[in-house]
Amino acid sequence: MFLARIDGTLTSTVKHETLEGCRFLIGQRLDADGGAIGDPLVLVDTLGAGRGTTVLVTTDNETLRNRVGKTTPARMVVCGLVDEPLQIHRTPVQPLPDGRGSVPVPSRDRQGAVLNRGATSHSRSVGRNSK
Amino acid sequence: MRLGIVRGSVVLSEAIPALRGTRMVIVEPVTAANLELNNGLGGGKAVIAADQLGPGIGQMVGFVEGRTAANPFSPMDVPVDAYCALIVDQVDFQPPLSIGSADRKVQK
Repeated sequence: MFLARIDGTLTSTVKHETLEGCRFLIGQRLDADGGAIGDPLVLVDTLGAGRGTTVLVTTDNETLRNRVGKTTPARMVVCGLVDEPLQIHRTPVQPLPDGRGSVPVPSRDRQGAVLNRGATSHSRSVGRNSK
Repeated sequence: MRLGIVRGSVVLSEAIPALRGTRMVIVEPVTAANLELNNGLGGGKAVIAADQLGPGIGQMVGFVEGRTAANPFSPMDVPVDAYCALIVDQVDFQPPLSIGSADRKVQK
């Protein structure tokens, strides 16, 4: 499953028989930072998602097989509408010198002093112990 | 399902029994940038897809990838992993201007 943003619609007359009557949307998969990634995708929608909506997409064909028939090839189905706004929290990290894992980047005040020293030194010691 | 533009068809002179009689088309996947411009270009790596709809060259189609692409041939076991599922009449694609193409990562 992944998140996608609905960016368009699609109409089609000639299509596989099981897809008759399906509503098609064009969505773009969203990355962890909320940006669109990859080629545009044709999604089957039953929830009435509109343009700009963030939706949850399943790639499980079973959902559609049960609804439109066992011979359907399509599998990307909108299975949920995400509450807006989409909130993704990302803590900045820096790689460890040995390249094994990473630690959170310490927050600094305007003079450059580390603010969350306790938490950071703890993370570093965990990194050393794991060698 | 991704979108692609039909660039041609494939005819096999010799094939395993399961594939005999299967029409196949060459599909060039359409990238987000080209779909936004609606310039008739694809831009992706060409895919060979099984086809039962008969799209013309240059037409835009929706093609399914993966194991489920063989479902229309069930109960026959056909080694097909891409299937042309629909021919596009009209496509309306407008990504939000506020984000535009700056948020789109370059695909390698």
